[in-house]
Amino acid sequence: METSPAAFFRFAAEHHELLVDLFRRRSFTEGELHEVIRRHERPTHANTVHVAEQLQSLGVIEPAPEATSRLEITRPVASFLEFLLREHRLSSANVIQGYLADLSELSTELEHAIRMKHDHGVERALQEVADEVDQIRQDSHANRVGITDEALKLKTNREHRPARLRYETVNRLWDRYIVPLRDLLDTSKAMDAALDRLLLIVQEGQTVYEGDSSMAREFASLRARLIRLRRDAGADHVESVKEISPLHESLRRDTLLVRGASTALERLGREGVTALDVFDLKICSWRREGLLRDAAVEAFLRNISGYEPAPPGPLPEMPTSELPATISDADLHERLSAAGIIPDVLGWLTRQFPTVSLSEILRARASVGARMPHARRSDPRMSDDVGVSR
Amino acid sequence: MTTELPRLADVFRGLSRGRHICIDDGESYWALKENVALFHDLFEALGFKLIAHQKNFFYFEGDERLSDASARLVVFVFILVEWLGDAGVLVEEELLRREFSIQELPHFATDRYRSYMVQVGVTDHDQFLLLVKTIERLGIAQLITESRLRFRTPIYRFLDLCLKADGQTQTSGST
Repeated sequence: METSPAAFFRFAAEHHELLVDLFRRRSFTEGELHEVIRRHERPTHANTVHVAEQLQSLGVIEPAPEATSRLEITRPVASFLEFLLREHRLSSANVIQGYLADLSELSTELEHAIRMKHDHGVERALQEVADEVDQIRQDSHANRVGITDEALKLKTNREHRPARLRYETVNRLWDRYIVPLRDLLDTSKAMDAALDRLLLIVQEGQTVYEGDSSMAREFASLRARLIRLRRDAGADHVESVKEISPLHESLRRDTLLVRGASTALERLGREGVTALDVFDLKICSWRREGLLRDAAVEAFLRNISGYEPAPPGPLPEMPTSELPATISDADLHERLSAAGIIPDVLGWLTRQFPTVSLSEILRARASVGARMPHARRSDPRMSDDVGVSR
Repeated sequence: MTTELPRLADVFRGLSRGRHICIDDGESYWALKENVALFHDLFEALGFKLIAHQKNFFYFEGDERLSDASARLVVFVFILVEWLGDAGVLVEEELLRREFSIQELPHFATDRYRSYMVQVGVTDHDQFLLLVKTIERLGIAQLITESRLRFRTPIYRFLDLCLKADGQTQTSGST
């Protein structure tokens, strides 16, 4: 059934808060619908059941396709509310590419009609091309607004979503909308090619219909639309990139930082401190050792300047009793000569020098041996281990 | 003439003790910034390697690969980065913009974080405060008061390690 625009707008003016509420919910049961209607009810409103019926009859809501018990806002009304609320659905590059393909077909149609001087065909093609061009411009603008809104939401981050999740969102925007559109606009220049071709056809049409003021006006109008589309689509894209690019980069970097830190901590927990060995963090910790401070050096130099050494004091004399007892070689030789054959040299030395230490006795015993290098144990004059002779 | 280098004693004293000199250090920073080649040559002759980081700060590269003290610093920053990331803020921006209360730092707030700190030998609050003092001495952060600190640009030396850690994950994941 055809919807009366007047009836629709009257209802919308009266119940705009209800419409926005239902739009935000997207899908709802009949019970939920009645509850929402009651929440926005005013004394001037009709009863709940009547409002629910109006919503259906005006084409605002319809049964959801997946379940008869659920209802949803119809697509045209949702699009209209998206436009009013600046909650634009983003058009992917594939959608834009589809428009360009349509535009190419319509261009061929227009060109053919012009060459055939088929006035009605030219008029129809001009109108369709103009609609298509406006649709592309509208979608391009909606994308710019949608991306800007999304970027703002990500920047303010009222929901405190971690950088990783925000990066996923911004990365999707980047990969799905920005990069393919850049390919269309800058790399393959598909849009430029389509618009250039159309402008040539329009130019041809203007020449052919030079004398027809009505047709000439239509061609001039389409030409202006094409120029506006080229300008606006480029600007929309540049602005979208400006809006999203810094955010994309900062979230990308943040995501890498957090992911790196988490990975390193996870390895630390699993493998212990050896997991940190991969990090080449060399912090200087040089210490001055054995160096004097300038002030200390100065004080030292002041103390030694003009220093004159005092004469050394006399060496102290050691008391005789404290002198270590020794056996002089001369005394030993004299006593050996007087002793004749000595059966026990060590015993003889001990008896001869009772006050000397054992080490001195042994030194003297070695001296006796050195004096008699020819002596042998077999010598009859020898008695103990080393023989002594006169 | 190297003897004419401005603030040479201050600069050397700081760098040789592991300090990172950034714009917050005023004259020492500008002396280095404006004479970086001369300082570099002088310090190299003395056996020190002066590093000028792209984020505009200077430090001496040490000899040890990763000392116990360095390991504590690394873990301190990794925990901080993960915590800020989970809080939904832009980590890099927040680290350099915000003043942190030492009490709010997360290093002993959860069992997991506490276990990481214990693994590198920071077992209680007193040792944690010593670590914070070390971080200040090295010029990574500045203590505004006894209980508040803010990070300085040399924190990027540690953020570089986070990126390195992620790079290694990607590499090991792709091989």
